Amino acid sequence: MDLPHLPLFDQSSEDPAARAAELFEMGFDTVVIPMDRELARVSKSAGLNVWICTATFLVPPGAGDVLARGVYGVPRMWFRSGFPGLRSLRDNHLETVRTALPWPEVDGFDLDDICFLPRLPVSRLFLLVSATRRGKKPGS
Amino acid sequence: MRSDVRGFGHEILGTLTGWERLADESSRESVWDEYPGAADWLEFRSRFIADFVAENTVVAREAGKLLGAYLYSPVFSRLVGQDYSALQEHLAVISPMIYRIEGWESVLATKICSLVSRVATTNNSEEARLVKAVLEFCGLAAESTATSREELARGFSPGAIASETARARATLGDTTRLIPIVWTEYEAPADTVAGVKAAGADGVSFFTAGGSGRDLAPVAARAGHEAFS
Repeated sequence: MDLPHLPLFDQSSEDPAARAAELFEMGFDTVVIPMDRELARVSKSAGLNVWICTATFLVPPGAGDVLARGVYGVPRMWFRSGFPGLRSLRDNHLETVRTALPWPEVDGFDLDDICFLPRLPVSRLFLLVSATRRGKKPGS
Repeated sequence: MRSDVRGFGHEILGTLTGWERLADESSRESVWDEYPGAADWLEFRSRFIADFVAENTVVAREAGKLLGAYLYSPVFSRLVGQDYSALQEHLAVISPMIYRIEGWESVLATKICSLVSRVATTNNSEEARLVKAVLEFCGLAAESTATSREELARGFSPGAIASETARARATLGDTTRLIPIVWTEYEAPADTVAGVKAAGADGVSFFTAGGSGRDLAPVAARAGHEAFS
């Protein structure tokens, strides 16, 4: 039987264990949560399957070593995301996944933002990518 | 490739006549033939994303974990490097984010409006032609009565979610579970979920923004069970 899922755990709950039990009682079989071992533990204890949602190409604050470099060698954000082709950024995400691999409470991972240049209108994406690859400043 | 990408962006996505050529099945192929580099660029991006997902799948499978992904609704997926067909071999679950009402970047109406936001029109008649063309190109003409960009921005009927679910189903085989994600805040969750089920989904997933002052999880759960149990 296919059961409904409720992704994104209600993190505002003051009592995550009670909330997890409540969701299970409602009939949900799965929760998708952030990378949080305690949330995973209480959710699993409540009888829920646990999936962790990971943002794939996000650049951590101050993480200059994972930024793309422009033609003058200056690190810069690839818009609001890291460039999906950067090996270091891809490795960062693999390490994120590996962090939770040993957690028995976790059944799987849901990848989010696995797109080429997220968070911009798609028509602009198309054009800006073209302009950027030619070394032009986006929007110029 | 670069000139084709630029030309496709300006001359097709940036003009009313370009959109009308894309909307018309008899001329659509010729458009892509004129800009072969544009299709190559989209393919290049899709390969990047598929390769990334494959890497993660190997790591997850070695530990006995499953991998799923939230993808753009099929109508936009190829424009952002997401090829459902290529990704399905790496993913146990694919969850198209099919949000039909205003408010978020992944929302159908928001994205469709962004596609045509730069296209110049000189009067209401031209704007209506533009909206008609983009809806036909997106396969959503039956789910909207909009004749202007303002009306288009208001969103789609629940049928749009079923329509996009069916489109996703058509690209996927039996090995990947299709579990679209919808908002709990919809006013007709039962209709929405029933449509998703009828369109071939294996389940339904719910997103809640929270903070609405009313917990809609029970309503969503009930709708899910009525459709899929």
